Amino acid sequence: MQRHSLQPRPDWPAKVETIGLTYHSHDEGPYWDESACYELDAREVDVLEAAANTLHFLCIDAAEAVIHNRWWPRLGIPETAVPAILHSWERDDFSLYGRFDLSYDGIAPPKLLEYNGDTPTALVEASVAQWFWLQETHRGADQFNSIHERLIAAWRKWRGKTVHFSGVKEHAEDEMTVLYLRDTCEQAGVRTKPVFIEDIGWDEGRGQFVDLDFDPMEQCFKLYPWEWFWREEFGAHLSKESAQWIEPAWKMLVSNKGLLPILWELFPGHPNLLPAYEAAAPLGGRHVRKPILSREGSNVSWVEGGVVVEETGGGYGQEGYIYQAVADMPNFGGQHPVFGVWIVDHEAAGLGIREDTRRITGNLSRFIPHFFR
Amino acid sequence: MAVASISNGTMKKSKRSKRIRLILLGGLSAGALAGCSPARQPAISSDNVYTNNFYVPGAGYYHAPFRAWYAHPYNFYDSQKRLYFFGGQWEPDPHQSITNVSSPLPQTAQTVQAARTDIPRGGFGCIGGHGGYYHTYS
Repeated sequence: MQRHSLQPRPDWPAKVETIGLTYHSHDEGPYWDESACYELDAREVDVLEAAANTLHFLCIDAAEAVIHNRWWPRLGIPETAVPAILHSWERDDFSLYGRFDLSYDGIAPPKLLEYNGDTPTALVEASVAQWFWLQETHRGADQFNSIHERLIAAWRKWRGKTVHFSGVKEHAEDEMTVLYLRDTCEQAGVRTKPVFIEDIGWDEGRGQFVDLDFDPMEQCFKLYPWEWFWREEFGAHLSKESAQWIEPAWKMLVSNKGLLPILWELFPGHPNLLPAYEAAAPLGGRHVRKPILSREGSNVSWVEGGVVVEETGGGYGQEGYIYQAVADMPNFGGQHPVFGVWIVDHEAAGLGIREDTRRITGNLSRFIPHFFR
Repeated sequence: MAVASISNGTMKKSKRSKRIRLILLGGLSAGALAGCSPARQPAISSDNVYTNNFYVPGAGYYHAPFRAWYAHPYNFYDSQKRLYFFGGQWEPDPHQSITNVSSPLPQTAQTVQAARTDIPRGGFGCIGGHGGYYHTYS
């Protein structure tokens, strides 16, 4: 594995904007960063792919253990959500995608940092932007990235139905992510309709969620966390199960850092797992503390010798924390990459790499394209 | 084969998408989600025309040939009863009519306007719907 410095394409902002990456920069600089790229070899890609496939099924097994043992409090799942989770699990409701964040140095087995199984983002950059970048800059090389065609293939199951697509208003990345997924769904021959999360209505007479045309929402992709859904006013209507949501309710079991200690308990010493517990003591003074429910590296503390050496802010943590052993992050001239392996329809489909000078990946960590030979 | 390359003497399947075509995403900027605007619910009036199955919450579905709203969609089929619904009655055969758009009777329009109920909205999005720019989730 190597990190190369590159001269960015002179007109890269315009190029990535035309393919949907309108959120390529922020106040502190570029978020899409093509001044560097990672080169992997085919073996390393195979190792990442195999690790993600393995982890996906470990997570499914762990979710089953949660259900069997009724470990809802360990995941901070409200009792009101349990029937819908159980029903969606029993029906094997369709799951489109997820992303494993892995630590990997090219030598030791990749280690699971967390699973973004409910509302993973950084999708347009992984699926589309780096693919077009590759065509222009490394045409003869390969890339671990069949996300686009896998998404289209997965949506084909919904032919003959209408799928609504919903995300929050006034959020560039979310709008583009939802629009991109809708694009792949349309290409699969499925009829789609957009509706913002805030515009979803509840028709008491029909007992259904409706869009702005009062059309019933029977299938809906939502880029909105389940744990927020349940806490809101319309959360009470979710138990009526009038709509099939994508991602489904059972994803609440795996998109939850409370699953990390359960994974370690069920599969102790597994090469793709880091030791994780519900208390700090078993790990001594060197560990990472993470909220059970949090997004984008918020409220994470890195502890060395019993002292917090790095931490991030945020508003999470009320459901409790878990403690995970420190992953030895690779260091490329002060940059720490995290390997996000995408799962589409239960199978590893691609890779997006984000890096930061900090060891905790946060919401401004840069996306770096990759290739392999 | 376009997706295969020779590597170390063995056929190796490419891991990248063969082709990426964008039909909605390309060239659009944020805020371009067509169809997403605040709901407008103009008053029901006999001066307007409505198509079959135009839905009014609290009143039901418009049946154009009958110029009125009913509880079920026009020619709705109940597989248990094995009957079709139109104009307020169940029949063994679907209704045949070339009228798929019409104006309601004035009295009907008034009754429906009075009976319509509002659809509450905004019950989701209170936590996350605050706008922003980057990676709200993960």
